Amino acid sequence: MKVESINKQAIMKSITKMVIEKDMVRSFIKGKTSLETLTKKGIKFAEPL
Amino acid sequence: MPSPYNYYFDKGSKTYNFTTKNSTEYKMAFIVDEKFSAISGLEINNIYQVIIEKVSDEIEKFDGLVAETIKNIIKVFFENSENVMIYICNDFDKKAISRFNAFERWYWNSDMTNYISKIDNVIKFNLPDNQIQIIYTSLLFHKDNANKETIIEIYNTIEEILNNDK
Repeated sequence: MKVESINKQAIMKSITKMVIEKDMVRSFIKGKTSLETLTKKGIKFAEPL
Repeated sequence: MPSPYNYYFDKGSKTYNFTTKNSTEYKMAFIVDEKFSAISGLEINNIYQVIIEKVSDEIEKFDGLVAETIKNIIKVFFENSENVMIYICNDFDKKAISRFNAFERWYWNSDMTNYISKIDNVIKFNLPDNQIQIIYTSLLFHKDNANKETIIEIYNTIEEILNNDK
């Protein structure tokens, strides 16, 4: 399987989004952001255990 | 060795929770990450970003059982060998590098090195005001993961592009 051409801007955007998502989940855990807000932002929680 | 704390999945907050002997509550969330697939053009499932956080901001005395409990949760997570974990170090208090180094020590001192691979990526961003932001990331996957070669290829390609195409 070969990785297709990866665009640098797409990488930067994705990594920035990951950092933002992490900050939002931290805020949620501390009770400062609602689960609804996270859901609206497309953050999906999982139960992988 | 003392037993780690008991944890449970809270369906309301959708997090794995445990409380320490000092009544400090920790929550651990796994969020689905689809960006790996988006930037590579390949569909890879079971990738999660992990977030571990204390509910309160109070400073807690060192408690070795916290790390043991987190390790226990991670071990269970990797009972599914197709699961992949992304860990991004917080830098809200400018201590990202300390967390990154602590995670490194924690990994190498665990028995998980036998069956879990960890690859790191330190990403430097040029911000609009010409400041440089550094993001410390680690990716963990099971050595039996069917997609491991693709995952490594994607991660290495990302690192190569970010480091060479300035």
